[in-house]
Amino acid sequence: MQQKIQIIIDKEAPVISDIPPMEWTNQDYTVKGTVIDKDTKDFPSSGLSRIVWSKRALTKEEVLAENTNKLSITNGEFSYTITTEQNNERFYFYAVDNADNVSVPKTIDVKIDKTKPEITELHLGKKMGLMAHRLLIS
Amino acid sequence: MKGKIKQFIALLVAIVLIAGMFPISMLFASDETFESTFTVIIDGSVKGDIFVTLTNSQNSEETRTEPVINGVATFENFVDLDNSYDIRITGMTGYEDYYCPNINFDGPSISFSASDFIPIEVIKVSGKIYDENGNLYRGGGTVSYSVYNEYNNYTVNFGGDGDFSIEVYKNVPYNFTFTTYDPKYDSVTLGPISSDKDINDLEVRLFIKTFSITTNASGNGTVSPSESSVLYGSNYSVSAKAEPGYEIEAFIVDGEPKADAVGKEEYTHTFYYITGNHTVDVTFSVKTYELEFWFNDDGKIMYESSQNVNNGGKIYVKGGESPSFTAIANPNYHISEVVIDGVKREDGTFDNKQTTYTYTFNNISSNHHIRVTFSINRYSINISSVGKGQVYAEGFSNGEKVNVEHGKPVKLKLIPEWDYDVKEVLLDGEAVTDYNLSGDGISYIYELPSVTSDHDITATFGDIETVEGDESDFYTIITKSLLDDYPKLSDDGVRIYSFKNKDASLTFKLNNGYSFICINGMIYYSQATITESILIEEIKVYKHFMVGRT
Repeated sequence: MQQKIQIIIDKEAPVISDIPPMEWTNQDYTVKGTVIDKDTKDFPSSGLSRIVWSKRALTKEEVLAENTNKLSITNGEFSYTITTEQNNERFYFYAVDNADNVSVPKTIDVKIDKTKPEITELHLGKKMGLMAHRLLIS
Repeated sequence: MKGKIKQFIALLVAIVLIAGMFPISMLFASDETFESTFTVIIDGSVKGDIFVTLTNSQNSEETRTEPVINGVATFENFVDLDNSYDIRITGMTGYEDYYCPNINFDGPSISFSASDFIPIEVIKVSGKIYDENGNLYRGGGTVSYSVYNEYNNYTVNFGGDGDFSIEVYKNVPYNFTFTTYDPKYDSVTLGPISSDKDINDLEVRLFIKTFSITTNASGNGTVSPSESSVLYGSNYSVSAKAEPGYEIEAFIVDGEPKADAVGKEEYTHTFYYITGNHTVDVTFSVKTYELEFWFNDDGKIMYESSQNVNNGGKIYVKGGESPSFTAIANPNYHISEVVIDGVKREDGTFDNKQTTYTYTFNNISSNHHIRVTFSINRYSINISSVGKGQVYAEGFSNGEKVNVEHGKPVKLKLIPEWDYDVKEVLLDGEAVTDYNLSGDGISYIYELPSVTSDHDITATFGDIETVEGDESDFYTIITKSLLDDYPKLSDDGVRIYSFKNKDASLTFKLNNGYSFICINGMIYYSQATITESILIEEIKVYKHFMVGRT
């Protein structure tokens, strides 16, 4: 009985499903995503490796070289919790498989505002029957 | 004086010589002295057939006649100046014969001038000339006339009035020849005519010249009969006709052969505007027939077993004969086709065994055209195979039999099916081993370098020999861009090689002694490099006569 040999040379990039947009929040926000890496008999997958995120678009080489902003993928899903305020800032997520195929990035504009509004100055005045208020909010 | 002495001595010698011839009693019987040379000279203007006769006036028996040549008649040792002679001169044209008796010569010669002779009187001969139709001939011409002995010829012209008039001597016989300027008439000769008075009514009738056409036939055939009176200027045809089975061998006109008549059964020659006699000699002979031979250079043709015939050559044969020819092929060639008079002969095999061919034309009665084709021998190579594989001869279409020229090679390609190999090659039933793996590593080449006979070749294909072993016995795996921790075994026992997608490859490099690797049925020579994902379920490697399985 001859031993079978599976040679996997995965040339197909994984695919990240769309990340739903978010509303403004004053809480931490966890971005969740799903990654699909096609795995068939004829085109076996090398297996998902990681998610790389960035606040700017990266080249493939930059994605593969990124050694910090990495997320693990578990059962095809990943999550990333953002705790800092983000003023509608865009986050890029890239999926990488074991063969170093890099997916098309998926993005989400993060809107986290944890700062309470504050009145810093109040002026009162009268002008021609109309009262104008100037409210300075910092 | 000195001359007299010489004469005297000469006389004495003569007397002595003569004395020896006659009896002594006869010596001194005469005292005559003859002039050694006495000449009679006639005026050069006097022509004719002239003779001079001298007769001793005292002895008429002593006479001699001499001709006048160039105006001189010479008498040697005849004239004695002491005698007198009668002299007679005859034959002078236009003069009466001369006679004078008792002349005493006072020297060794005597001369006569024309005035010494009496001219003969002349008469006029005149008349008319008529043509062949009885009409006056007005074309002009000449009248030549001479005395009958043909001395003293004269010619006068006659004009366009058809009349002629000539003065001739009376009582002298003349021949008159009338010749016209028109060449079609024969000359007319009248005479000899002599008269003592004028002739005024002489009629001359002209006749057109006629010529003879003389024909002679030899052999079996006929020719137009001879004709003796063919008119001047006319045309005349002579025809020759051979009897059946015969032909004209020669048709000769006035000694000149007519080439275009030769070999014909009939031939006609026409003489146009005849102005002379002609002769036609015709020879008939048995008809000749032509055998024309055409053949290529790879053999020869012998006529009657002894005479080489050239390509394009012709042999001529008499009718009724039975000539034969033999075609002989050069070594290693044969006679592949014989066509006689456009009909392909079928009385032979016309294969390699047909090295000669003989044919006889019995009782030949027509021309024949013979074309012989010599061809190089060709041999059949019967090819058969047993088992799973194919055999074919390179350069030939696929088939069980190929046909090869003598001396040419034949190269067989033996192609076993996959997993099969050549087990045996038989040449005419005998096993051979000199077949070799070709450059493609799959097929074998078996070559007969020079085919000189038919052959049967059988190739037997059988299962290729199999050996088992570890893969390292057969090949080495070389990877590029293999992921860490690979290869590794899956739960179901599959050995997995996973690669990065850049410059990824896995190469099965065959060990020495192995030529091919078959991966999942795909065959690679020497090594197989994989650059795409694949599940390999079977690997075979091959070398000559053996396959390795891992």
